Amino acid sequence: MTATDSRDTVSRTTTSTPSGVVVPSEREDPTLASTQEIQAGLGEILEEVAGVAPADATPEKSFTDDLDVDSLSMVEIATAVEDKFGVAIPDDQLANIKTVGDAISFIESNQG
Amino acid sequence: MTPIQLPAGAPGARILGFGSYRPRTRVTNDDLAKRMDTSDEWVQSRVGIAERRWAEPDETLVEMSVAAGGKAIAASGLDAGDIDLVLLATTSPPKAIPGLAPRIAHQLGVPRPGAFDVNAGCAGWCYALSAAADAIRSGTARNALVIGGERLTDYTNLEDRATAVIFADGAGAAVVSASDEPAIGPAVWGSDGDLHEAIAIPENETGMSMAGQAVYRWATTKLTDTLVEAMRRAGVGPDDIDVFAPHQANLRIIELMAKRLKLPERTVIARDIVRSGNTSSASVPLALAALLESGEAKSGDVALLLGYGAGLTFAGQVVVLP
Ligand SMILES: CC(C)(COP(=O)(O)OP(=O)(O)OC[C@H]1O[C@@H](n2cnc3c(N)ncnc32)[C@H](O)[C@@H]1OP(=O)(O)O)[C@@H](O)C(=O)NCCC(=O)NCCS
Repeated sequence: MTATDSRDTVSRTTTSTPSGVVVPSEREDPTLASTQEIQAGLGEILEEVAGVAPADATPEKSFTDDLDVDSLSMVEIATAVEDKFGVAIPDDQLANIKTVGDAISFIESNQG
Repeated sequence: MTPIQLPAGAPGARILGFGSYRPRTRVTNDDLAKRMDTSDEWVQSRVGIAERRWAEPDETLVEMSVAAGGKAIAASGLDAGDIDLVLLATTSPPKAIPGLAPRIAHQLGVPRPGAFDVNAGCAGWCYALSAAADAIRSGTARNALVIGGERLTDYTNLEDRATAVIFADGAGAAVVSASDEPAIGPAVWGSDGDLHEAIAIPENETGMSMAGQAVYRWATTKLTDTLVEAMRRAGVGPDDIDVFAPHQANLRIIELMAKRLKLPERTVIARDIVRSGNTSSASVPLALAALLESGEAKSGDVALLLGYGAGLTFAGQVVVLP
């Protein structure tokens, strides 16, 4: 049910050309979350999933080393990111996300 | 054409009693840390296991299942002679042939019952419970013995610390009989066969391996709906649930499910994993038997059950405890 919801969100943030070809929308698209919004949303997720104080969730922080977020909490974060931003983070990509900044850029470049 | 006749069947089915067998040997996380690179801290914080039981050579799948089954029959108040269906849920039989349910029935003195093994991974006991309840309701059987038995250590690779610290051995069983009031709700069962490799014995290997994070993600995202549907189809809501006994795979999954379901504070949550590890299809009956023995759960309590595991398979159902 959440999967369908998030897919809807994604499709709303794409634009159709007259020929019907769907092209990914530009970064400036107002329906996409800004970097600040992503950081704030991720902060909320981190607080909810792993009890991280929002002020601590800054881009340079490493999930495991600085924020004490373990691999299973990372899976929960991935699920919450998908629900919130409509961006799926597959297991193999999740392993490459080490810092809060990595997560922000992943969401940014995969939304819409 | 002569129409085929059907027996009258029963309005419902209920569990009459539980029995369990826990292997003698207790293995703590510190014991494991002497044999492999792990720690009590890692195992407790990731999985929630403090200790588990490992079967000795004489504690075979048949012997453990007979012990648990015999206790369940005694608790039910029936005699072995009353049982006419014996199901063994297991995913760790020593050999493919023959199935073990007939031999277990024979050793228990159950005369010539319908008997077969069920392999639905860690969901096996919940699948078998549903099959038994349906057989009773349809009139194919009157009294069933439903056993979940495992010797997962036979299929554990001690070199793979991520699974070696988790899997364990044991058997749990219940006797199911006809009742006027339904006390076993409809199973909400299914499978996601695209994930068949997530928990499997890889080609040319003897020990199982698990894509832990993929299974964790699946369990924490896909199965809440199964539990909600199991309650809906049984006509109960979260506030009616006295006992929540999901498969004991990871304490964090158990707590997360309980939170997502918004179960009330008073709901007793099975946390048998802490002392039993993951015993696959034995975990739900072992957990229920323990809660009834300790008095944390009582007769008449409404329990929400969930099995899930290799396949991947899942089955949820609501039952009234004996
Ligand atoms: C199995 C499970 C506990 C593993 O946890 P995980 O966080 O996914 O474990 P990983 O294999 O990713 O390992 C994470 C880290 O812990 C280490 N680790 C793995 N097992 C370890 C152990 N026994 N002791 C110490 N460290 C261990 C890994 O080497 C890895 O370290 P690294 O990050 O430095 O490389 C978890 O994935 C789980 O419970 N999944 C669901 C299982 C389930 O529900 N099964 C259902 C039916 S049976």
